[in-house]
Amino acid sequence: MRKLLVLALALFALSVLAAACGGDDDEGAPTTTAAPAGEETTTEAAPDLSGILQEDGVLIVGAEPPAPPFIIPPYPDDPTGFEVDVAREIGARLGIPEVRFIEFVWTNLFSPAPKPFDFDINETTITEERDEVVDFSDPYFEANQAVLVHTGSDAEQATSIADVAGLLLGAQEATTGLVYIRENIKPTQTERVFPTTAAANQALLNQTIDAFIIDLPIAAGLVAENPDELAVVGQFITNEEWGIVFEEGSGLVEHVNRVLQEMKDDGTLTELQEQYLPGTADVPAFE
Amino acid sequence: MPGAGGLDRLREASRKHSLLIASLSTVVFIAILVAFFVTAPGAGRVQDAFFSPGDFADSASPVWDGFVINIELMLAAEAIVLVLALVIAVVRNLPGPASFPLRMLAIAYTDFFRGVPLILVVFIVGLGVPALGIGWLYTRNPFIYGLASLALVYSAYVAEVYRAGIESIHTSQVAAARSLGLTHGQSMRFVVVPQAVRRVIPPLLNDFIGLQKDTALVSLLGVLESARQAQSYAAVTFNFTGYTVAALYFVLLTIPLARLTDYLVERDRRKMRALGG
Repeated sequence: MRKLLVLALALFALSVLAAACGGDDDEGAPTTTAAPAGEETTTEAAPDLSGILQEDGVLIVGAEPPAPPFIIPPYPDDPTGFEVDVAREIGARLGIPEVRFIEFVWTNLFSPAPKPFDFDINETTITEERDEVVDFSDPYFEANQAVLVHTGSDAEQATSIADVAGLLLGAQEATTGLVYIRENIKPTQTERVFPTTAAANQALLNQTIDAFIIDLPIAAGLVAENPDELAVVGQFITNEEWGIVFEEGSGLVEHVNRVLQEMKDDGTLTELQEQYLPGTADVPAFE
Repeated sequence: MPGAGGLDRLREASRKHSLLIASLSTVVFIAILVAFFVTAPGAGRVQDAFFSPGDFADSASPVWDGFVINIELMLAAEAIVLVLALVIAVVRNLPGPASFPLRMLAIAYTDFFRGVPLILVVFIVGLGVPALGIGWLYTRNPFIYGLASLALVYSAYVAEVYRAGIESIHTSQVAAARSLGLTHGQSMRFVVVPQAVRRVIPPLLNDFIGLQKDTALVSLLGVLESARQAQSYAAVTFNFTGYTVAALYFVLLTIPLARLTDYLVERDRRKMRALGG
């Protein structure tokens, strides 16, 4: 009995200590995630965001980790990734001293409950239905359908939808890519339909199919695994655009849209995309 | 003591009585079955999702296109299996110490391919063999890899069926054949195997039906057979009636085979009774 009591006390002491340390961290090192690039990039004076942000001086960003290469753990302490860096850059350009990441389950995004974040960046496709319950920023990424081929094959020479239609295509069941093959490409040979991305990818590596039609970011991940053997030769514009999500009526949208435009104009967005999704920024569009 | 005519009348009445009871119990049974499904709280939802007449008509044609591939696979695989399995069974029964490694090989083969799930064999053969980069093993037709997987696995099953048949032939048959001067090979060829095969026809047909259903697994390699066609239909329309259509095709193909098996079993039993009686 006494032993148990001692143990409980020890545990209690430990947890207090841990909490105290956590507090220390918050006060001692709040600038780890703070604006690194506020200096030259901001073209105008930082806007007054008091009353707009949930907490003065802090941009609270929601996302559901992990989603590499968009959100790469350790989350929320020190994440990296395309979307993480886009959020940090937006915070820096708006002159907000701290960007704090919180975990927010994606499926709760469109519930009517008040949002605990200033914005959420989580591979969310902009749709009309969603736009009715939340606000979207301008798109920061186009999730088009990529034409993934084996390097050195004839398929690598494809430059149009007509060229692709002559290839033996593969797709994953129940994906946008498969729908696109059937409704738009209409290939001359019956497409091969695989149960998983991995199976279709292996078929392409084996060259039992000529091309694999799949979401561009996924294709980029596959290229990263086998850079010598796989390449994205083109993309089909499907108008699936990702937007940053705000609570309906948020005053922050216009400010974020303004700096997003800056980031597009000065090439920062493209640079970040190239960094995390190599080979996807300048993929030719097939028509 | 009733006369012959009286006995016939009695038999006739008894038969009518049995028929009446059988019909009655069938009707009651089906009524209970139907009532169970119709009164279920989700009956309407199930009907919409799995038995929608409109979707039945729409999916019937693409699923049939896929089902033709299932039939082709089934026939081609069965042809290979019947031969390969017999070879394995015969090898397993080779006499003499010199053929020990061959016997071991046959045992290892049946142990391995009966133990590994077909779905894994399909993946390993379908995605692994073309990756080897060996020219004569490479084809762009996933049908071939699917066929090979089915043949590999079912040959192991069917080899065991053949072996059971071969071992059921009484040793006196072999002894008699050998004493007539036949070699081991000749006695197998002319005495043992013909009797053994006849004995195992019902279990062979049973495995044939199993094979027919398992052809759907070849869809894993991208072949658009009936199950995958049904899945594609469901992915676009969010309606599962295509699966019901595919199931119906399979059942319609299976029932004649099952009845044939029953008939052969019954015929065999009658023969045995005639011999024994």
